[in-house]
Amino acid sequence: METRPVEPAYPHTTVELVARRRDAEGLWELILDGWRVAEHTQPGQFVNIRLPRSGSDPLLRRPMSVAFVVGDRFGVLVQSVGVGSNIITQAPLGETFDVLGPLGSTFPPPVRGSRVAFVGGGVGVAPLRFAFERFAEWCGAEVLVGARSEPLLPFRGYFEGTGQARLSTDDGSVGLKGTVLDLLQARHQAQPFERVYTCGPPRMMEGVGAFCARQGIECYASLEARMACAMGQCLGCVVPKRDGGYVRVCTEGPVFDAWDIRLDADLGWSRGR
Amino acid sequence: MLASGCCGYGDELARFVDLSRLGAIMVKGTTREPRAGNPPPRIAETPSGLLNSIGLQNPGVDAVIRDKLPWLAQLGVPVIVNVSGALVSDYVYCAERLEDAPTANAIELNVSCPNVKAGGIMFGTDEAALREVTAAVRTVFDRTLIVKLTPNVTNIARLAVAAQEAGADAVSAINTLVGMAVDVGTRRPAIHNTVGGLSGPAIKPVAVRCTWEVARAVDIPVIGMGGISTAEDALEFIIAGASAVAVGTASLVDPEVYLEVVDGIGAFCEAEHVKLRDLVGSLKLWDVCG
Repeated sequence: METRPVEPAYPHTTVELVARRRDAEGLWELILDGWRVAEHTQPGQFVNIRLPRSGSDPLLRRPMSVAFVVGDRFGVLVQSVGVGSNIITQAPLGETFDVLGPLGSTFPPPVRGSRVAFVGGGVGVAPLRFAFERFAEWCGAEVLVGARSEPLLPFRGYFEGTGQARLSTDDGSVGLKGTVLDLLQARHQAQPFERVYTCGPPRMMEGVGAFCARQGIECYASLEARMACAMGQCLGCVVPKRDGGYVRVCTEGPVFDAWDIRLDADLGWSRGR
Repeated sequence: MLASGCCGYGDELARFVDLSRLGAIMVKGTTREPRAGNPPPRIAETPSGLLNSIGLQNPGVDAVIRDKLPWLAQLGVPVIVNVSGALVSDYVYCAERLEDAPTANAIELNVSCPNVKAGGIMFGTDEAALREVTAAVRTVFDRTLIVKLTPNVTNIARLAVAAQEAGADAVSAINTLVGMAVDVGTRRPAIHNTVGGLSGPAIKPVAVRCTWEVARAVDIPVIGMGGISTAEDALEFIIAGASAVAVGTASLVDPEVYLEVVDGIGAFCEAEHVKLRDLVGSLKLWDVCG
């Protein structure tokens, strides 16, 4: 095996785009070669990707959750929503990206043998896939994935391949007709969960968090926020805490105990850049 | 230098970059009482710019002195504490506390924050108010006193002169420009506070102009800032009259950018066979014969 110099987990490195695949409508899976990120990232953490050759416009990096790790490579799932994400999804193979990361908090591992649900919607399934890959073998894991309609289902091939996934669509085109929250309620009724990991659209996580609170299920949510630095400096990416004040999604998060955070807060998402 | 608001209190940034080559670190705006800051969304990206309304989230001056300054002291880099308030007495309280904290090498009076309801920018846009707050802090703080000027005025030079006459040792030019962006999907302002402070490369020409106007009007040093992300940007400010420069928004994107700026200024001076101090204010105007 190749030996590597012993280096600290210095979170600033260069990675290379080695593969790209259209995963679902508006969603792209990118595979990036970068052993520092691959080796040090824990489930829930993210990288902040500088846009190549864009000068000062768009100015800011784009935060992306790590969705899986294979050897020296790692995957991200990118939703094409605006100028910045389009630059990333349309970059030529071989393009190098300057990345900061891994950054942020991690999903705490489940208790051995406990029953755990991974509840995701849209591009939010990215950190859940990585958590599932690391945690599934030592807990009773079920993946619950929702989308508005079949063509939008993320990582469908992967999740169906695990044999541990159930799907829901708002229009009933595949899986349960309804929301992923409906699916969670049904599965919990069938056999109660002890812990939920969730990531997805704000309204989905608000519903999942509230359901878990009512049912006494531990719930860890991975949040998304507009970020400037992702290094804890600018205080731009905060979310309100249940007991008052704010916490940074980039540093105290992105993974929080859902109970601690006001998941009903309106973070002003409309359209991306 | 690293500009206030873009480097926190240094401790967390040290994970990403060696701070020891800084000329100084201007730490986050600090107030008398702890402040929770404004509700999100607090930031929006604009063309070559960043619109922010953080709202001076900070733990309060006493916690900063107790929890943050000891770490900064061992960094071996001059520490400039950015101070803000709603009343003159708030500024004076912070200055008195910092006078007793030798790690604070200097105070930068934030009289130009556009993101708090009372105080802040009010002191920076009114000559009499600026004189009052500067003079009041001067009487209780003996070390270096810097006044951070706002560009949101008709005549920034007059405010700079007022700061000098009231006892400032230096001025920073500039703070953010008041800006606004609208989310056309929701028809709401892009940030919760409706308006915010615009920073980044978009404001650099305004900042260079302000630096030039201020440097011509005062005898005290001018610290140039506003959109600097390269050595060439920094040199523009220096030639326009800045004795020192600070990087802000650019270091949010690349924490190591200040090192490139420092090295690039050095390389320029070497290539041009010029000493940095001779570059300061060396602007050659078109209409001057000579």
